[in-house]
Amino acid sequence: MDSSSGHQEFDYLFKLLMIGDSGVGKSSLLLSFTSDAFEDLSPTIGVDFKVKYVMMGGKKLKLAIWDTAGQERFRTLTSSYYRGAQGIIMVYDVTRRDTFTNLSEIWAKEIDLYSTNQDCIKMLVGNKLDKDGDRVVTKKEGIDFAREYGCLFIECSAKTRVNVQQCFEELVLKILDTPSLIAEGSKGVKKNIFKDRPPQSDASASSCC
Amino acid sequence: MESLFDSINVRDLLSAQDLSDPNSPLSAPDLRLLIQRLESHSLQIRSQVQSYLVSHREDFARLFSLCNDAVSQTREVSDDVTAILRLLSDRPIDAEVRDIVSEMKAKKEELKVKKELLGLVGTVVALNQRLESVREALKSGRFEFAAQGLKELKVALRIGEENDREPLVYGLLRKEWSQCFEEIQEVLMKFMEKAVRFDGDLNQVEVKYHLEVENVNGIQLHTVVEAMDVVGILEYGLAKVADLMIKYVITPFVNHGQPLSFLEELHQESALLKIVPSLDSKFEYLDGEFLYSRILLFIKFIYRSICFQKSSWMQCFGRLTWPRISELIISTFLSKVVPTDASKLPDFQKIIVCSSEFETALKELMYISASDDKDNRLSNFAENVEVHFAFKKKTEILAKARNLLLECDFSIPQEYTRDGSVWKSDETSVQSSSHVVDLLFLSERCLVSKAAKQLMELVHQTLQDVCLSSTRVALEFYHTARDAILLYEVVVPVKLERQLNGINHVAVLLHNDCLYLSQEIFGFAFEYRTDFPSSMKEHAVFVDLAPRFQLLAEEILQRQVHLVIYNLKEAIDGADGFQNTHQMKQFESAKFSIDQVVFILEKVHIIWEPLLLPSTYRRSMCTVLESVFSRIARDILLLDDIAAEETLQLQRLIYLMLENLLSLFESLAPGEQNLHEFSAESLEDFIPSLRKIRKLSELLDMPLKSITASWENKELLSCGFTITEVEDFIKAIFTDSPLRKDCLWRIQNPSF
Repeated sequence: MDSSSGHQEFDYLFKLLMIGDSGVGKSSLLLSFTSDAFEDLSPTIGVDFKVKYVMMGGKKLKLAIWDTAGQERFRTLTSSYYRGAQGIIMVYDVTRRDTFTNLSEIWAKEIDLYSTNQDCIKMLVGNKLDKDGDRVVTKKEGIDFAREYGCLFIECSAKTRVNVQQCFEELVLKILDTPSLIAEGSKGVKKNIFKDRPPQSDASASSCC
Repeated sequence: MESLFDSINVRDLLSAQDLSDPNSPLSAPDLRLLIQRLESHSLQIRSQVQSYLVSHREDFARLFSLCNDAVSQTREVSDDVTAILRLLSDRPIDAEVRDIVSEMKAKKEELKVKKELLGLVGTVVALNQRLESVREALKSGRFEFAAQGLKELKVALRIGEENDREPLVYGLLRKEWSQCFEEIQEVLMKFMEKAVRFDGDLNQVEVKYHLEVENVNGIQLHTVVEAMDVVGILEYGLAKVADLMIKYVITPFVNHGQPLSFLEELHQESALLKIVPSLDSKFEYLDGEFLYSRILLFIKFIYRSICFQKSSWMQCFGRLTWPRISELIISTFLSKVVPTDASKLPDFQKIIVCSSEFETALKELMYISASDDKDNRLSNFAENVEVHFAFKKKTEILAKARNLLLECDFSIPQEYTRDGSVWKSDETSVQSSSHVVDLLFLSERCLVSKAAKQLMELVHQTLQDVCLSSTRVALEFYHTARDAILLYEVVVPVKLERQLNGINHVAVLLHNDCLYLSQEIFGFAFEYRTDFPSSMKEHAVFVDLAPRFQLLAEEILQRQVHLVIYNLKEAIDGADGFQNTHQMKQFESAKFSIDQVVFILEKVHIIWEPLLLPSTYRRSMCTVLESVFSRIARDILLLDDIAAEETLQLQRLIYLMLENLLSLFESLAPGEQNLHEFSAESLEDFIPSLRKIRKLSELLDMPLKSITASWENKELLSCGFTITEVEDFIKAIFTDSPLRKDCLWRIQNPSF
């Protein structure tokens, strides 16, 4: 049958997470990225999801970007938040040192505990670059953390939009370069149904043309 | 001659027969007889007349003579009148007479006017002479005489009763009078200023009885005050003294931090009132005795030294000063000793007695009116102390309530959101927590905002005061308690309007607040009514307030449920009706929608379970889940063509969703059952669509004969499927064949 025209065509669906302390600017970063005029914006479901369609690497991508909507203040994120995520953006505020130290103390452990995808791409993001005069976390510290933890690194400003686009682009390009993530995004979770449930021998169970 | 006047009865002339019949006609002989008798009667009359005339011949002659004389006299009168008229018309005498009369009239009027003018001149001269004497008296210092003169002249000149038709000279006289009045007023005021002075260096008031001003010889203060009274400027004169006394004596005395007292010295020529520090080391301001006794000393000084014990003068001074003095006493003393604790109200009785005695003493001095209750300013205030106390307390309570509501941020400490079961069952945490309360009519504990808990503590304290107070105070407190509760209703929903439009902890906390408040309010009647003052037992009402909070709580909760369902349906819309899930892109979209649904439900689970009452949480969450499952099942059942691969994909999506919601389902277990006893069947009783969607996932890979058998044994019916849904489902999955026809026929023609 012909495919439905209810929504846009896309090649891959990627689930991206944004985590970090309250007040580091995750929602602002998300809004800054998703509110570009030239790209279509999917309807928002509250403030928990943002959907954005982008062209990258010759592919049409549907990015589902999940925001914690303040739940991180209570440290009560659920496993479903992390389930199936292909990319995780860890955000800290360059003007608040505790938000940087909490990434290794708290959030990295949450990722290890709940993430169901060992190959997911992680990116470290230092936000509020526009307040460089109040900076208390040096760029070198960010680079060292990223190297130690095996993730990408970038500094940006959601306010001035410096490096916002690059942040997501680098992450998505890295996902596209990871075959296991691509296969998962394209086909979903693999499961051999027929092994578990042998088809009935009844000849009437034929499919329609 | 009498016979001439007799009437003739014709019937008497007839024969005796036929008299009884008046209508019978007369015969001819009767007529002839009648004629004869009439002629005879006529002759008889003629004869009598002739005899009479003959016998009175002299009388008739005299009568005719008299008539003749009258005619003659008339003719003479006529001749006389004619002569007079001729005389008058021939000469113009009447014109002369008219002229003379007019001249006489004018002369008389002229005389009258001149007499009036002469009288006026006399009056003016007299008034002017009196004014001169007043002026002379002023110069020579005889003020009582001058004052009396001015008073009399005021009446004579009708000062204040001017008449536009008066002669101009009266205006001039009044002007003269005004000048004299101003002159005497000025002189008298100078005397008063000299007589009563405040010495700032010595801190005393000096009253001189013997005065000397300019070239005038000595004059007594009593005379000056008397003159002012006569002239009518006593109020003006004493007003200056009153202002001086208020400013330099009373106000410092009442306001002074260190207690002051008055010392009086009386001499032949003067009197002194010294303001000195109080020597009373045991100074106690609380009962007002010291304050009142000293002010009374001051009033007596005025009574003796300035008003000379004259009641009318004292009344005047009282009118000028008592409003201000009483206001000062109330604002600096009585208001401050109004109790802030109901138990101290009896102590205030001493102050009421002192205030009343003080006012009685003032009445004896004629300082305030004995008959006008308005002058009992202190007693009126003191006796209304209950009202002042209640008003003061009410303002304090409502200000406190308002601050509680505005300052609370309605946040929840972290330990209450991580794991709600800890504080719900831990007994020790109840005492220490400022957020946990026991609900009055439910055997459950509830998490509320600090504001609600503290507000209710404030209301309870107020109602306890109602029980301990007199009726008037109790009534004020009762209204205060109600107002404090209503303050929450009007302030908090507005303050949290933005939060109430989202899914968050604050909205749930507000729901709990309203539930808690409504239950506490329901309990007020049982808790306090028996201890209320008897007159309030029947009138104190709280039952109207509790349902408002109950409805508000339910409204807030329903709004949250509605918001959640709205968000969930938007997420499900992303699945586009679960069409073509055998194609990869459509499957990914559907899976994404399922992920969103799961995430939203888990977020709601995180927010609601720790905060809501367990029964409320279960009820609300089941409502939400029922909405989700029924919607998804409906969308799938509406598919009109499902490929074989599609059935497997749809089944996987349902399994994925149900598997991810396991922890949520576990949170819905009733408290009475432990986890082991909890079964899927009991949950499906609360969420019928859960049973339906589970069965739907089985149907998606069930053979046609098995589906038919499930319908025939009523299993599908009990799961909520309709016959139309089953028929459409079979048509969507299975191709047309004799077997399908047979199964559809069996479904449409049930044997049960």
